[in-house]
Amino acid sequence: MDRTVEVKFLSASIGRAFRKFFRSGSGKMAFTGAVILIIFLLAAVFAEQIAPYDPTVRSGKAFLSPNSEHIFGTDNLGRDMFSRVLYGSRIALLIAFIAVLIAAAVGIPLGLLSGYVGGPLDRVLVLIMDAVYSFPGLILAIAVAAVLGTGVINIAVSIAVVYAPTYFRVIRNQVSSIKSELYVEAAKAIGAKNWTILLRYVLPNVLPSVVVVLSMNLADAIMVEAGLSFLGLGIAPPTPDWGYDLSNGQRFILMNDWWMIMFPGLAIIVLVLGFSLFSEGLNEYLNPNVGERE
Amino acid sequence: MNIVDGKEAVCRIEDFRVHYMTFDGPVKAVDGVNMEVYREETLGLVGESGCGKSTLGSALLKILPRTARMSGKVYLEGEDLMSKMEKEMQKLRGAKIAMIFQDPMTSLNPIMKVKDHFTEMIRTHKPEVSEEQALEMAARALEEVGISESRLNDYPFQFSGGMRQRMMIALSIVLRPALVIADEPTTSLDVIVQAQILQLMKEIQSHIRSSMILITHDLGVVAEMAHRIGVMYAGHLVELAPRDVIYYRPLHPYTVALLESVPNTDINDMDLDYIEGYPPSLLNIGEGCRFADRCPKVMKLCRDRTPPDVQIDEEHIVKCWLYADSFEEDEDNASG
Repeated sequence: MDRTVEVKFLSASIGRAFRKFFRSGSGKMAFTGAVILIIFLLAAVFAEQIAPYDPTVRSGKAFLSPNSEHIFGTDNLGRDMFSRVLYGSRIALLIAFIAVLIAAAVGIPLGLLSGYVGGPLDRVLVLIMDAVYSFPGLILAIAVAAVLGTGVINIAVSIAVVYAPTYFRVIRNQVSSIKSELYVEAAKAIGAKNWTILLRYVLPNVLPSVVVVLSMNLADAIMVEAGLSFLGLGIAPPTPDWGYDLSNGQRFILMNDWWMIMFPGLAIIVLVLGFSLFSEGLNEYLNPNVGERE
Repeated sequence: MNIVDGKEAVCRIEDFRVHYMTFDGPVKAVDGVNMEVYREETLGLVGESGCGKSTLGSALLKILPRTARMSGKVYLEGEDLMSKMEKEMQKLRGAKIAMIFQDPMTSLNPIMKVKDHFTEMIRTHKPEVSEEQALEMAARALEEVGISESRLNDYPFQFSGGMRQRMMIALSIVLRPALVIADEPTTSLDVIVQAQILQLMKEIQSHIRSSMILITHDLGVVAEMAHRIGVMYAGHLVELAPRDVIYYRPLHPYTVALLESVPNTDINDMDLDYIEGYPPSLLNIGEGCRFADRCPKVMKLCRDRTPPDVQIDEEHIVKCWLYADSFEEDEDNASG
């Protein structure tokens, strides 16, 4: 059975593009990704200790280009960009994790149920989920975010709405194929209850793919979150946020103040790349036939 | 409990039908089967692919796909299985009626340890049994099939096909079911392992005193194992008799043809006998004997009306017009 996770994550194609730089099966890809992720996690956790300045208050002159005191420069209000980027990773990761948690908490149980029970319930759920899935991700997130308003949880929910169908699809399709495996039939023949079969026979066998989807989803969630903040639908301004800083910085791009968009943008790119490498490496590790496919 | 001719029937199947509902109409995979399985006996069920023998086996546990519709009666130790709800069936499966599947490579959960398969099985049916007691039972069951207790902590992939089938056997007998259904238990094994497994099943069966329905297409296997043999063709049970009667005095033209088509190892006889034609499609099939088109002794009547179950003697039943004494009488039998 092909257990390969095939989903339309932007980060999945990024990861795939980078695959040729790494020797297949060496695990270096997942390792590189993991290193990047750990760096960002540490930055997020210890932002207070690392950051030289408070990211929300003026710390020097406005529009300072990178120098020894402000290594990433300052923005139009004189706030230290390095501190803002550091603190920004906090918001980015927090929202991404909450969003992924919500998406998984909705998508996985529904996918299990839909795939296992089948019949009319399955058809209705697939129809709903496919309808949601067919929307362009960012547009849907903007629509939901516009209705819900700003705030960490609201942004997380609007991102979760976009990605819950992905979990649903992956889980449902695998469940419906695992359901017909002989060991499930054998479990029925020994008198196992449906819940037992679902939780002990089916779920553990789909988990490897869930892990991969989770890490891909984190990368995409960060991009969507940055997109929402860029459009002013994300976190309320004083809080440091990469997307907001990008949109703030691009107003001054004609003044050649490149550092204001360079560093938040770079942070987004590197973090997304880290997740992509990690998930693709993981995918390759958990599904050894991925490399042979292409 | 039903005592028939001094033999106790563990399982009684009456006018049992399984029809698969498809968009094109019902596929009559099992159509009007009557039989009994006596205590401690092995009933071999033979027939070619698609004759309904596996469907019949799974139907007894009621684990068929949703599209299957069952009718008729199945009594297991006096209990009517067909009237049971799913919850009640779950209690019976594994405990009173167990199944051994064809492919041992895929019939065990790849991510569950051997001991977990056992404890889950035991504790599902006997919640009062403690984890340690369950492990002890598992160890004893493994011992019975010749696998060391030390392998309880291994995963299924660490076993060979033959050993996995031993495990499946151990798993199916650990709760001492009254009836074991073995659906082609040795088909995917090589001949040496096959012989070992069959020998093991024979020993275990006499040891735990259960009954067995052995489903196979291998006439050699049933000759070795079965006390009685039922021959199925296109959803009908065409002949049911003690083993020696089937092999030495078969009556139904299909049984005769089937036995003639068994390949032998005589190199002077290189012609492979086979039965001309194909089994009929079971989709929307109507009245009449289903073997009629391939039968060398076909009569006009055969195509018009389904033959009755003719009782040749106490233990020999043939579903064929050739042996019906008079049509009126048999019509009474068939409808009554």
